Amino acid sequence: MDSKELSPTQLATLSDTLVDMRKVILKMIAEAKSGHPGGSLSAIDIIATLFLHRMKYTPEHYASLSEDVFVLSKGHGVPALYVVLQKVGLISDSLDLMSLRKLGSPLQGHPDRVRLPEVVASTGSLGQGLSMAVGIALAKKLNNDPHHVFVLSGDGELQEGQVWEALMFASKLKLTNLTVYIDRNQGQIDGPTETVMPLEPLDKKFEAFGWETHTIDGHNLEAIHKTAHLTSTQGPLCIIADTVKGHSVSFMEHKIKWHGVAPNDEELEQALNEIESKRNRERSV
Amino acid sequence: MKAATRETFGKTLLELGHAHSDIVVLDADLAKSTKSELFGNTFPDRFFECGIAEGNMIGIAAGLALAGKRPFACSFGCFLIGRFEQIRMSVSYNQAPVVLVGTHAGVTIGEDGHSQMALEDIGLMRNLPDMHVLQPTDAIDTPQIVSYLVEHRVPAYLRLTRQKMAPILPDTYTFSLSEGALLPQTPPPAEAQLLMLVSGGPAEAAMLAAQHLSADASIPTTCAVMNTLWPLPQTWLDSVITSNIQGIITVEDHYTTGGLGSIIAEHTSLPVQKIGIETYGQSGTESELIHHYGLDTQSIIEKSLAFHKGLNLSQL
Repeated sequence: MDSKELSPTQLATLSDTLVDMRKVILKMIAEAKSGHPGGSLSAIDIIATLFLHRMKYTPEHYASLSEDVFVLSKGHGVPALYVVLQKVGLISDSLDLMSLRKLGSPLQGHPDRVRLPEVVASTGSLGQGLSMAVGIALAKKLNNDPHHVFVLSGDGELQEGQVWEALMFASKLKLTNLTVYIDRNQGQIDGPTETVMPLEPLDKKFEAFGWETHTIDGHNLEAIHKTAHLTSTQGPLCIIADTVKGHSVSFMEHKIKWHGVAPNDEELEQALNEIESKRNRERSV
Repeated sequence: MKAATRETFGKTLLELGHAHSDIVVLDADLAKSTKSELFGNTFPDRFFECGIAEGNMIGIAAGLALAGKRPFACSFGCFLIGRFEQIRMSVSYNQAPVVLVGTHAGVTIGEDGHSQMALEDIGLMRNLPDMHVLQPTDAIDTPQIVSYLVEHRVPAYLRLTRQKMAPILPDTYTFSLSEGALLPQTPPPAEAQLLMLVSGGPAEAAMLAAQHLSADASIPTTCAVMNTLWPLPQTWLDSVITSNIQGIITVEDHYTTGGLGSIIAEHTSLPVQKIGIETYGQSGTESELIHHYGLDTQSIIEKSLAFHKGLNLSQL
């Protein structure tokens, strides 16, 4: 069982792994010549920390949903999920990540559980992942299964009314085995969330819907790790993770343009160098 | 005895609930009307009231199904298919074995009017790969179909009526997903000129019309119900469209586009007379609406006679 704090060694290793993961994500999207770099880079720290340092699962049983479960509601961030699933052995090393978005590949542009059961739920039509996760958490309660269900939701998709229906339901049923992370990167296709359709005060809205809510820096691995271990006896948990769209690549950070555009060869090279230099900088500190 | 198929559904699900602990039932503030409350009253721990939030109910049902449960998500048919996006993604694309139970189908909901009438639901649901679309006939096939859906983990849409249905299938009837059923006192297909196919609400009216055409108008007409609409029971259909059949009449309380009429017209090169709804519904009593929209026995007879006449003229 993981302790509730990352050791300095664990933290250093995780940071190092995340440098590699960010690079692979961008290579995959560049190879596919399409995809969503901004939201993949804002989400990767959360997904990796959950799978590497919080969730309990086995490659044999994960897809049966009888263990800890992760649902990616913001399906467009799926390159980040594929990278993590392969890193932790939930998908085979022989599956070529560079087949992303190619004909016949299990690595569809958005999660497809029929082609790749380890993604748990097919998502990509925003606002639906939380309801499905609520159903899975409910089944676990009925089965007296003590495992936990995690959801990563985008912030833009909170504009879908269905999300608030699911928030009411999970609160009514006191689903203490459910934690939703909000990838609060502030951006969506048509602009900043607060311009397109304001979400704030987001924490107060979740609290008003009966969710215990915490706000963290979504790129602070210790904060992600700590909140991932929180449990409540009252009901479900919401972690609003303030993140940066395109995190670690200067020309992508905070830029809406990089929501759904693949880098060209030059941009990829520059991005990989920047990410790698961050590793070197972290090491020298 | 006449019984609405929603009523028989509710009783059957309650009975099956004892032996099948994986059954869970969800409703969206219509449990009294859909009859899901019969299950809920006896198994409160496996019944989830979702409030007036059908999209979320469908998503939760999908999650429950993915985690191994056998959910029945119930509402009026119109409100379920209004959440088509959740059905297409959370249920269909996930291949999540949810049974979507759409009650009060067609104009026979009556006085409530068009907003409560599912008239396009079959057309929408059969466009989803792997979705099973089933519409029982009476208190004889309904329990068998509900039982089938408990035992087979497929995504399904079960279309039920508020209208009370006369028992017209023989007591010996056994449901098969791949077959419809011939109705009594109409000639076998090999001896008929016309084939009348009906599903759901107007089944008895169609049967009576076919009996009249055969006995009194000298137009031998076979009548059969199609309680499985999708996947298409193709082999069975081919077996009843015998070489002597000159034309097919379809009868349904659904738009003539997308439903049974379209299904049959896509399948056969024979002339098809579609009898069903062609415009918005409206308020009225059940019997007034049945007559107004031409789903009563007399209207079906008249349209069939005109169709038959046209067939014979075109052969001259």
